[in-house]
Amino acid sequence: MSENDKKLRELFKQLPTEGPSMGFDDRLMRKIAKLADAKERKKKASRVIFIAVGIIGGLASLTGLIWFLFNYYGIELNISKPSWATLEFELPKIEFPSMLVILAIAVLLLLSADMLIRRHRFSKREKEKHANLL
Amino acid sequence: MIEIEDIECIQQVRSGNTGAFAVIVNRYKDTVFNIVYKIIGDRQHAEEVTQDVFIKVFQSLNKFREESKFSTWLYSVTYNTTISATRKMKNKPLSFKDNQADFGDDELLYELDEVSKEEKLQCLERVLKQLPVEDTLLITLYYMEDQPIVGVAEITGLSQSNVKIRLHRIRKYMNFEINKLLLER
Repeated sequence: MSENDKKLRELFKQLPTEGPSMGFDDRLMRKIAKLADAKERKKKASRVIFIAVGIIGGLASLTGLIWFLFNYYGIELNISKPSWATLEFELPKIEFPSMLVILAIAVLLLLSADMLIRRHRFSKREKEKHANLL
Repeated sequence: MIEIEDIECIQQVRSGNTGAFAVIVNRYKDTVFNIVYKIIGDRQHAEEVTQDVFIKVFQSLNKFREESKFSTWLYSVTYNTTISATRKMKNKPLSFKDNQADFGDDELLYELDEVSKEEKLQCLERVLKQLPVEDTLLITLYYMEDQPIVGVAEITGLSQSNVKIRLHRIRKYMNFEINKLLLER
């Protein structure tokens, strides 16, 4: 470092330092808290959309799977349409393997359980976050 | 009291503890304000810009890759935000034009020891006010915040050789102007 450089550095070091006014931190942190809230709300909304899309997608794929299995194995439902005019109808005769029904119910139950667990974990995390802020 | 590391605070903020950001604000508010105030020159406006800096930092914390020091990244946000703010002011040039850069080879050879501290500082502050925005930021980071050339390059996005050239040119200008002011006394 040259002598000139040293002199200039020393001079700079002697410059009076300034700080922001009182209450700057509070004002800033209030803004930050607002921003954090808005961000969290946005996150929450997108999570709800994600769950809704997940449920609809899950149901659609379940229906599609059942339809595919029925077609693939040539399973037919012997359902006769009720005659509304005469109010005469026959009880439908359903014939398909009980294994398929169990499988579909199991998938539906698993999806519901997964959704409930996720919701529970999310609310628990939110409570922890709130406690940390306090 | 154990001081929490910057990175620890950042991780807490990222995991949702917004309160941890107060530690960062408290630690760097004076430094950031000082840099901004040197450029803007108006307390209220400087406070607004300082606030913008911290808000930008908070909003883009996820972009901080932890490859450099947090302070370097914070200075980089400060540098860019201040330059954007001064673009709106339009009363200060952003940097020297080439034809403005010929100030001879003046060294700071004035009798510095004979001049009072107040006078020296007055001269320095006057010359700092005359400097273009980017150059004031460069010189402030280098001399006041003790950033090395590598750090200044990282903060400003300039190459190291470019920083060296610009610092040399600013020094020359400052020496020339300070000498001139002292001769006018």
